[in-house]
Amino acid sequence: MYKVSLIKLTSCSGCISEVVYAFTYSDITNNYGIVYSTELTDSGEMGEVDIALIEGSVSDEQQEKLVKSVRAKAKFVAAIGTCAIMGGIQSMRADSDIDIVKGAVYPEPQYVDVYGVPKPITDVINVDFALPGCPINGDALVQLLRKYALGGLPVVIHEVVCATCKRKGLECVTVSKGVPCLGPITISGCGAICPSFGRGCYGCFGIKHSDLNKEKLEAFSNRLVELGAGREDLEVSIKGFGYKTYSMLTKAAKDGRR
Amino acid sequence: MKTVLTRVEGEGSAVIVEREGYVDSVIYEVSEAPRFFEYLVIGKSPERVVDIVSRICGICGTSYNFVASTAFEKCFSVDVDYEVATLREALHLAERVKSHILHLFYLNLPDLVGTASFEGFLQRNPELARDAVAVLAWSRKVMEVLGGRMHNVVNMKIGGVHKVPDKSDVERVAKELGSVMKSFLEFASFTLCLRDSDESAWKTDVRVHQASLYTPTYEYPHHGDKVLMDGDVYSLSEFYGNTVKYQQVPYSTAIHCRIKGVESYVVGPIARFNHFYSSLHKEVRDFLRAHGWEAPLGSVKQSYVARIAETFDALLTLERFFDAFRGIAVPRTATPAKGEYVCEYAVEAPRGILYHKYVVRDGKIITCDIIAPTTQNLAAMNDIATATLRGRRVDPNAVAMVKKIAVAFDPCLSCSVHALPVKIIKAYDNIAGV
Repeated sequence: MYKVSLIKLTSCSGCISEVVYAFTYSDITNNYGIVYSTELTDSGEMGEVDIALIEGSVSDEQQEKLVKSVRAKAKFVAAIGTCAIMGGIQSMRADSDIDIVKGAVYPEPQYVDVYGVPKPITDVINVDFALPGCPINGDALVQLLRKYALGGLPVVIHEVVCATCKRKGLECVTVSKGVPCLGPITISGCGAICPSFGRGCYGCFGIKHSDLNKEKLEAFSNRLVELGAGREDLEVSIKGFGYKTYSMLTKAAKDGRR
Repeated sequence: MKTVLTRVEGEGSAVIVEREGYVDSVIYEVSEAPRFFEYLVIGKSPERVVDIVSRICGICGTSYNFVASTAFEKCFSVDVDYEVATLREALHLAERVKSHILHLFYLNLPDLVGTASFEGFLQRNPELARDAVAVLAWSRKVMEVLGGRMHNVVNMKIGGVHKVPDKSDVERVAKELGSVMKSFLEFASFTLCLRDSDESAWKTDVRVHQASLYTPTYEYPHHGDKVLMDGDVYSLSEFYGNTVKYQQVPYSTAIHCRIKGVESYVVGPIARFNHFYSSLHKEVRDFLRAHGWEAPLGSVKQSYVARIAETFDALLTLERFFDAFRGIAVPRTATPAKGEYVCEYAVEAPRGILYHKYVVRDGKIITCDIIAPTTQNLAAMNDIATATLRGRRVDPNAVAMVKKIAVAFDPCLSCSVHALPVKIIKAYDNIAGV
């Protein structure tokens, strides 16, 4: 029986709900048991575990310490969800002065201690696997755990939502209806839900980091604006859900790489 | 002494202030790091905001999509087709089922049967556990068909939905409702028969009001723009702008709500149940009475009865929706309007009244005000826990009770970190440079 711990940082618990689904509605309960989770059990301190699933981004020093201690006590760490891998939608505040942000929401901002830029956990520790999604796909988690119990891991395929649309035989919403869609730069895994409902993808699984640079990203954004997407709205996808990739590409451009 | 809250959504702790070994007061601390959604939406279009706010909560995200869409529709005067409107309500009720069964089985039941987690109960009673899980799995399928996925649904927009599902997909999930209802009633019957030993320990004299939404047609609360509290009906702006006062406390990232700054109030299943018990389907009331339960519920600890009633009621409403579904409605598109608008609306999320207020100018959000249900319950949690436990010896039983009180409220701490007091909206004009 593999021991699993479930950690939540700064996030909405949506990925944890998918974990709950995976853990109670599939056969993996034969091999896995949740020994630590503040949401699901009364366990005290976290001990040594086989697998740690971490949801959420790191917003303060206390969470950074927690993530490092989890890494030390877990044989295998999986980052689950866009918050843990990309920083999450809360990363949209990264370009603003944190004091202004705090002051806009709290009458007494001095009591609130939080980073200006939320960190994906991949900035703090090495992870063994990253499962994208907002929320993650519960079936993908079941797949991961089934293969892990057999001594392997899922093959990581770097592809975008377009590939999923093609496999499902979905009509491209951009080509057929002129709808702005971020599918061409968004990490696959959702099953192309938005295009199957006739709307454009808004990038909630994060932006791919291979075969993309700052110029290509800007050219693509300009094309989406031509199709009717608002520039401010695009920020939600690029500087929000895709923050980690966006900041990597921007930094790479500044450093003169690519 | 401080203890981390378990079996609640989100990160929080309970602090017991001691005086010579006895409980003086209890304070619930929300330690969730804020994500500043009221700031993030500034400058975005209303269409995008409908998707953004869903990320505030992982269990009741659809409530956020729903109330944001409806608030914008009402103020831009966008009409929604009747079948599309009932489709959205059905999706929202499917989420209510998901949220309630999640709480009843995974979070609350361990307290009622004395296990540390749902896994303990799963070992003792696998059949009933399977019954509960079957309801969760079915609610997930319904949400996938009507909304796209179980959380962060994609199928809600201003003006209605992006796509009306195929009749065959709806029939596929509708077929399972019969057996799901049976499973639910098995589980519910068992849970309703549980009686706790420290029943009397929960009685308290603290004055706590109950608030729910109100419709003039006396329907069981779902969504609307009027609040009912102590027999008085308020408009949303009266209630949230004037009657409720907001306080930030130094130990918590969440803001507390108090009536006129003094007394606390409770929103959620118990308030809805006590106010509108007679609006529940007759089958629901008969089922409860057969197990010895009736309105009014006297203690928050009995909220699970209200959750069971609401889940049963939602399943019956969904049954009617499936029977009437034609799949012929055509979704409409709304065009954003020029000018300045104040858009506000409220929905009964699983945990209580969720209120949104946006100021929109020329198609962009200028300010945003979100009051989540748990934000409203935090003051009541403190008051009830303090009144119930004051004077007791600080021992493991007292600590356990402090945690049980939190669980009974079904708090959603990730949501609660969102409340922008109306009084500082004016500061926005200088801050965002708009």
